[in-house]
Amino acid sequence: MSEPKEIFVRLDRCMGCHSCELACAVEHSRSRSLYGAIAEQPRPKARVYVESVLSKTPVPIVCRHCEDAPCMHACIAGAIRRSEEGVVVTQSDKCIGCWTCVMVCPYGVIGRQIEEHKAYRCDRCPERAVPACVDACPTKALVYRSVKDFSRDARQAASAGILGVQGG
Amino acid sequence: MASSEKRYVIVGASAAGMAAAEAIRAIDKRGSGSITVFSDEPDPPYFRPLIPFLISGKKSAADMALVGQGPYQGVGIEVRLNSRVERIDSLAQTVEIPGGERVGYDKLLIATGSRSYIPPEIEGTDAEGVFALRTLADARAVAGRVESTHHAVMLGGGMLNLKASFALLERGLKVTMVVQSPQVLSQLMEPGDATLIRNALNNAGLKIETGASASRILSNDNGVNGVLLDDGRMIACEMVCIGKGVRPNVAFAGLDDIRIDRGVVVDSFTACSAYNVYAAGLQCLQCLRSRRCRRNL
Repeated sequence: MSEPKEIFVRLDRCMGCHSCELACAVEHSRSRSLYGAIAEQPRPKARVYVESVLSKTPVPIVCRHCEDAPCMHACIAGAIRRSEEGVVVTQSDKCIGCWTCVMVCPYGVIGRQIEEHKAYRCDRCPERAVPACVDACPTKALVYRSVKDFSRDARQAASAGILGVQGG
Repeated sequence: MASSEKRYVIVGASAAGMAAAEAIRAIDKRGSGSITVFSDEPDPPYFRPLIPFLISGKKSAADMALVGQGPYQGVGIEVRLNSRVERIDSLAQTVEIPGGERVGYDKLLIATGSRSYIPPEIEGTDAEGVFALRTLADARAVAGRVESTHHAVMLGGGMLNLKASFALLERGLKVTMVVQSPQVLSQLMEPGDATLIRNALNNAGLKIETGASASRILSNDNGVNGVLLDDGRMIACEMVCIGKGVRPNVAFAGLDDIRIDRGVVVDSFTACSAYNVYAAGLQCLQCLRSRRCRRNL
């Protein structure tokens, strides 16, 4: 099995354009098109959120699919499971809309579909090779890589910086 | 003895017991330690908060099964049903179930939870059609009487009775809730908040009588046919659900060396006063601050 991938955020690149939110909502719409999604009821919801904190610095935040996921242990209906790929999944048919997962999530990234009385969260776009939010990011602030690859990239960037300083 | 070879015995197969079983198995990955969970219920472990859905018909018992869902994978965990632990011998480190079978343990967890409290001052609570919704079997019994019920009276305004009320309303029954205190959910919220809830409940079709309590449940050959209130009023009904709170399930024999004080007394490691005995869940009503306190338990 290949190394599982995660969605990483490069904060220095995010400019707060909210393209990720839009792409996420469209991906989770019935029509899967922007114009179709706008007309749908209930309105498709984004699973990624861009929050502005500290001098309005934009921070994209999405379900971390925690290794020890509080939501999964808190669910009173057994509706939250971890897939073989390591993705924490909310099974909509089992969800009873008690919002316990919403309350325990330390990142506040589980939403409430009030109309259907169901909780929803990032599912890492199981039908896509790369999640829609990552694909849509114009500055590549969101990256979809394995921890190993992401760390190697960081090491190489740091190494190049060190060489640059030394060479300067 | 290596930790992975230990015999873990858990009394109670609800949330605390099964979560503990999974946690032990997660640590004991080699799986050579045995984990045995005793349940006095006939049903395999289930998500208890879902039982009102059995009454409303939104879920079946199979939909509520706990093993195989979420974090509860049940690998290497033996669950023994219809096995009420009647005696704990913490010196011999054994538990005893009906029939005299004794099962030894190295570590014991008491996770027996609570049972419904039936106020002794109410007469006639043993009549057919009187329920206290706590287990899947209770929910089945309530669902079984819905067809022959037009009006259900709920005694007590706590969460359990509210959930039961909604399930019965969804089945098309007329439901009246009799609450002794001046508000619903009196143990949970301020009067102003409770008024908001009460208004929402009224809009949902639930009739609420506050400041009243039942003194007697009336019955005939068909079971319940009314509730007599302490103010002299009589409410005709075919079903009564009692939701007057819960009491800890600590009615074991041989608990002399396990300190009980309104519940199993545990320290901050959830250890009881007897060695190798722990407790978790609703029946633990007191928690001392540190392990050092165990000396004084």
